[in-house]
Amino acid sequence: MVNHGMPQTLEEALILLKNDEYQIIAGGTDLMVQHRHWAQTLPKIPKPVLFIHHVKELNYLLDTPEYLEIGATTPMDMIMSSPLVPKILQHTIEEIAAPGIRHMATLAGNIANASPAADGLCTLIALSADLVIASLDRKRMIKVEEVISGPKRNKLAKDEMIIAIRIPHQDQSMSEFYKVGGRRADAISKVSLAAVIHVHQSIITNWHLAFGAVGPRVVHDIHTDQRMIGMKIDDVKRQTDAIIAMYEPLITPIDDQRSTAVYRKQVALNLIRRVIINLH
Amino acid sequence: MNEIIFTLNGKTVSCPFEPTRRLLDVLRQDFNLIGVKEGCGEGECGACSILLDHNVVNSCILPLGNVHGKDIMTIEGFKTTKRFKVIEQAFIEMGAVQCGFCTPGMVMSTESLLHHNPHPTDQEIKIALSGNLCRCTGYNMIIDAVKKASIVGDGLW
Repeated sequence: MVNHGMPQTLEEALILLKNDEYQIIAGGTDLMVQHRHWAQTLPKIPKPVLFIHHVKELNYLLDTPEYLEIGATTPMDMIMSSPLVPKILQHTIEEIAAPGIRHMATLAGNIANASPAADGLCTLIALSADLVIASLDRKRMIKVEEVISGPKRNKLAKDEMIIAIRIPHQDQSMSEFYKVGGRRADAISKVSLAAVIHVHQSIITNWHLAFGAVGPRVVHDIHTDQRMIGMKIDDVKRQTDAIIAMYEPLITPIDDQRSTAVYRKQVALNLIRRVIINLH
Repeated sequence: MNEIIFTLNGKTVSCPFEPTRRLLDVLRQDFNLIGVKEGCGEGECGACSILLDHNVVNSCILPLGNVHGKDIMTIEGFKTTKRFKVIEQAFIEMGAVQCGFCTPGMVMSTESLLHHNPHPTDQEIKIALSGNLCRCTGYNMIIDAVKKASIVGDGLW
């Protein structure tokens, strides 16, 4: 049997991934719960684990003229408190879990776990973020939303890992993240909405809505969003009901232990209304 | 690698290489540090809070592998410090302890907060304690106690 791996460098990690199949763990705050077993026993993780927490070269924030790059092992708390990070992403992380978890958890883990309710995923998709994915043989870039294939499933090959997240700089003066959950801290979203919006001289120049927990994946439809570009704010406000109706068919939630389909759908549509009311 | 080595309450310790083991179990079973409590076992209640490099973390969902080379402090180690005495006295005076099960975790979250932010606002205290559940006090007394500790202990953090 293959042993668990604890690489210190990215190269070591990629060599291990090339040779054997692993479950990657960064902070572990999600996977340790998913595979939790009885108290005082080991979690039941079906594969050997590759612990990448100690790969220091992936723990960084780097600002470039085109994008902000966040290394895969950078803890959420560090991302949240960095002045380089867009406000909407800071606000999103403030709504995720609580300090004890944010000190260990990573955004890359939030993506790889591919939960349709992942708050971080929702905002990164609205921000049109890219992922840098590496294996020993090659490096590639992919849109965050393209790496998700379904609930809890991602398209990473078994020898690949996320090494960084790139968030393109963009105008987004009116961006906001809305989360509806059972309590303020430590709640998994019943519904969430990340709205990345920019208004220039009363005209919409950037518009991305990404909804969490209302479908098998985070819901983001670029074609619907594109129809908003160029609209005057006054017209948007006048046509609020028509705009909500345009998004309505995209929202297809289910009943589960956290909420009901009926509630989620209504709240998601109400959140669009709130976004429009807040435009100025 | 056949051992995991870290600093525990100021001393270097080593454990067999079982990196998926929960740090909570290692602390309670191998080191008899039973001030670290298991409440929910899934990172939602904060009873197992400890400090990792001076940041509060939930030891029930922390794999031992992630602790290698780090500095871990539990309530037992923190008890020997002046800062603890200030927090302890503030918790007593403000009535912030009833059954006591959440208290070690509350104290570790308080230390993590004051280490980074010695003069927190009420809102910052609430956020800092947002991962620690208390089913007795209703929280007001705990928030008052943290505030009191930050004033009485001015200069210690």
